[in-house]
Amino acid sequence: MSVFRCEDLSRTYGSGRGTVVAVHGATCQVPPAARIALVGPSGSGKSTMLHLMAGLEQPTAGTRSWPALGGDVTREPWLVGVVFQAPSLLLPLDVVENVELPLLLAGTGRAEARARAHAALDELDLADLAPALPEELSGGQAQRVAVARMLAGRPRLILADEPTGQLDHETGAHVLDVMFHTADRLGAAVVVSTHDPAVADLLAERWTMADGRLTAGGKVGAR
Amino acid sequence: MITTWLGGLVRRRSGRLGGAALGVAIAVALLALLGSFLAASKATMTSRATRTIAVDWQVEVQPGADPQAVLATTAAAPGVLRALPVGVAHVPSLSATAGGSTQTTGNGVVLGLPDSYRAAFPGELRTLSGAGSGILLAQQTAANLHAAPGSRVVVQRPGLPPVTETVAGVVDLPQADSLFQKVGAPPQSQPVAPPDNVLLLPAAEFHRLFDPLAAARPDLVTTQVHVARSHALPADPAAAYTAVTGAAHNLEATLTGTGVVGDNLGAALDAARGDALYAQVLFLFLGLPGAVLAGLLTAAVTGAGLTRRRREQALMRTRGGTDRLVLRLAAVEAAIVGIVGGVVGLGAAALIGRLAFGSLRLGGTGAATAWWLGAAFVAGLLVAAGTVLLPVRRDLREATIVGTRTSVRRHGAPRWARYGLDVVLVAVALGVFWASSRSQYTLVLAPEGVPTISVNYWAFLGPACLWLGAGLLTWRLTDLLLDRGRPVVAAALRPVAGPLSGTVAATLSRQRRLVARAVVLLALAVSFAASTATFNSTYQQQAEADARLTNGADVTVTEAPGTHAGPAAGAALASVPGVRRVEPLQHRFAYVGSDLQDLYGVRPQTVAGATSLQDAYFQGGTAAQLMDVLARRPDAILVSAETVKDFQLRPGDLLRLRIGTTTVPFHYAGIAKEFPTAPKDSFFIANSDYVARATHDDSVGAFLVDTGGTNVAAVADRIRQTVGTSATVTDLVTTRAAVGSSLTSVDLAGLTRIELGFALLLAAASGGLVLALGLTERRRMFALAAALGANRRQLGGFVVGEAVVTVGLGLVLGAVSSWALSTMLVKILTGVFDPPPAHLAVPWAYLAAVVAVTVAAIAGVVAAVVRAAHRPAIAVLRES
Repeated sequence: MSVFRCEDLSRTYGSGRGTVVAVHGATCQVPPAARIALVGPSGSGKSTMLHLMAGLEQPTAGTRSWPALGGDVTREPWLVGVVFQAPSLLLPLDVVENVELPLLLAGTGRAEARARAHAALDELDLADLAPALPEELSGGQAQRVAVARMLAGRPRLILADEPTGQLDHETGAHVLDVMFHTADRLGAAVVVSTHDPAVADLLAERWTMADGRLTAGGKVGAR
Repeated sequence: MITTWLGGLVRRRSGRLGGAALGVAIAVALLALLGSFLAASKATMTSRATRTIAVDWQVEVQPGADPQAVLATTAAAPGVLRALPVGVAHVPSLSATAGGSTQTTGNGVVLGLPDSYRAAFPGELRTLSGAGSGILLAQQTAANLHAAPGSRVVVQRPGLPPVTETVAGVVDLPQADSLFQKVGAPPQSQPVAPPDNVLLLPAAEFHRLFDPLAAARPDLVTTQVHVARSHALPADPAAAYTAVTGAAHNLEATLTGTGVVGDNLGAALDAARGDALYAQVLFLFLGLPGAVLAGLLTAAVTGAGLTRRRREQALMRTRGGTDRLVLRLAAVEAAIVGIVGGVVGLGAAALIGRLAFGSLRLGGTGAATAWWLGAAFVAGLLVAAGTVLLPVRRDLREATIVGTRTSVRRHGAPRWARYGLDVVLVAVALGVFWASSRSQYTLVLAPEGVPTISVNYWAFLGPACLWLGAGLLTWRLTDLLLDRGRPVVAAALRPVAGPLSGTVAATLSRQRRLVARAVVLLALAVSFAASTATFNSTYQQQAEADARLTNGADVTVTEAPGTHAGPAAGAALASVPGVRRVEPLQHRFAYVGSDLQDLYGVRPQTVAGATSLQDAYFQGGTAAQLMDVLARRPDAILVSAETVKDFQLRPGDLLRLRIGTTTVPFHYAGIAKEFPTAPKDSFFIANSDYVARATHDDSVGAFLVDTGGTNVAAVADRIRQTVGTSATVTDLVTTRAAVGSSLTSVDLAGLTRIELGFALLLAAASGGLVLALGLTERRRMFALAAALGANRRQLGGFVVGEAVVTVGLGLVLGAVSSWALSTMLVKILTGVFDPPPAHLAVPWAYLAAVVAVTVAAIAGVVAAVVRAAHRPAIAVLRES
């Protein structure tokens, strides 16, 4: 049973002459424990595709589902872990509070949430930064915290949007290593959008997006 | 570049611009309305002062001067409309025989009035009984002589045989104080009271009787020229006073020593300019905080977008934008906010003026209104510049580009907090309060007859320091609570945020400066609204007390001079429909030494049932305690503080009063400062049964009628029909209007109508608008929380948690500071209260409305933000 599947999925912004088609008729499925690199030039629709897969965007056409996750992740959002391309830490919360937040939102008890948050930070060598505020972090540190936050939620589907874009090569490799290791442990599927061929090479499967069309990996999107 | 920036601002930051313009609009509208009200109030005061004067000038012809020449010169003086000669003769006594006994008075005054006098000066005489012309006797003289129309009065003339005149009518002389003034003497040398014995004669009769006396004793007979002037004067009482006194001096100079001017109009304007200063003071005390608050609101609105603005500026500077360009763009934004806010504010003021007062001029002159509109508009521009442009300028000077990118910082305490400025300000306020609580304190110094008047501006320091200190202290307490008291806040928020209460408390703690600013603004707005309303209510309460003191009760029936009505006459009044209770109030005149004072005889057990006796009217016990003393010890007497001082009285001292022909012993028991129907200064309160027994006379001067406060005017009409012309009937409704228009100082109705409306608006705006903008600025945070799995209820926990903290702290701390501010305002502005209040009157209904409107505004904001937070998170993240 696939973790995610979609058919003829589209997402359009605006109307009339200003219409932008970000994703156009994508059909695909993500098997459990899949390792997929989503590649393509800037503006090709990679981020929108990930957001659609995370349930954060509503498609304007087509269908999607998360069969292995119970069908509708919008009711159990913690089953999908997302690492955003842009800074995504909540500024008024310190690092450990940021990491534990999704757990608290999911109903985890405060003590357990705090313990899991610390564990996730440990895994990414961020234990010292636990009391720091996001604006006191470098861009790379903030991105690693975002990854730790995602991993602390123990998701079944990991969607990472350029997770190493702001990291040096060595740190990026470490972050990916931790992410894949955790995914292996959880049996989670991983989809990573990236420009970096080196990162893409670390993943078993490669999907390509161009002009909103998903053209490789999954079934060809264009009809 | 500027056009592009402007377009972007209007398209993308319309909320922030609109909010800031709204704040400016409130400040402009408030200032325009209050300023117009102030100008109109001053014009009204001038007009009222001039209307109350019957004779504007009394020019006394000096010994040896030709009265006709003085009359001609006076009549020809600029601004003089009418001038008539009045003869004044001083006689040793008047006497009359009534009921077999002859009453003889002490020294008296006889006036000779031309036939046209009454038409020329209609306010000087009021007919009480008999004819309105011919030989007239003043009311108290008639009472002293037991005379009435038809009585024959003997007038003694030194060195000449006495003459007998038949009284045609009894008149009241409402302006006896000024009529019998010592012309040309300074205020402190004026007679304490007008003469008790006054006879008015037609001019021809006066000359027949007193021309011979004038030839023999010119020191006893003089001539005055009474003058009615044009009342086309400057609207401001101070300017009008200057114009009138200048004209009086000019006339004296023209008369070259042949006449001295008694300037009644100048004296009335002298009092009015004092009132005008009080109006100005009230404007400053009650109005200015509203405008400052509107400015703070604007600052908070613009401040809510500060982080974003700093980022935009930082971006611009990293892309090569110069400081000058950044400043120019900020100036353009300030100009837009100022102009739009100013125009909207003036429009709103015009609309409110038209709806609430009929026109924006509110009765003032066009020029004054235009001046205030212009001033309000300029003030709006300054507020916009101060809140939009200045922060940018400060940032450019102080901030680095990296620094401008941060929004949540670990702050040290601000400098004012480190130095304890809030505590210092509150301490200064308390010091000023203590100083102004002392008896010598006077806010407005307007010595009679002295050209300059002044305001004790130091008194402003008290409320100003308290307001600022309370604001800063609110900030400190909020900061302290959200920082150190995070567990407490988390526990308090558990009902609204559930398991996320700790996280919500953490977000509030890290953004506590933002939250503290909203709390301070709300607390100041609540404090402004509540203190203004409480001051107004207390003023109304005391105005009502003043009206009750003046009239005595809902309806007061005063027996005509010479009539005899015992307490039993009250039965006829009690049977009038609508009358709940009738209380007799004995009135006599009593001599203490050579001093004649009013004596009021009361039934101590029941008098409080028909009139209002406040504890503040007495000294040496509460009203109830002192009435109890009068009941238990019938020969007890309450006297004025002045009498206690003059006669060095101690409690229990024997005091012998001469009432009519009887000397009655009393024992001093306490001080009466005020009493219904009594004059302001010297009077006695005693047990009426004791007075009646001691004088063998149970006649009642007046009946106090309680109607239960309903249908007062209708009941008064019914009583008038019952008593006919045998008594004068006055009612509280009429007296209230008269007291209000004679202005304890300033009629506050207009001021408070404006203020209370704006206070309500400011409270709602401070709570709602600032919270809304603050939350809007954090929509990215809510969107991120939603993207991380927060559902609507959980997002609501964040929003409601902040709203609860803001409202809770704002209302509680605002209530505390408003109580302190109200107490201080009432104490410092004690001069506008007559009588001084014993306690504050709290307008609970209005306060409930303030709370309800504020909570409703915030609830609306919370609902809107929660609804907005339900938008797809990614869309919000993409926009921000």
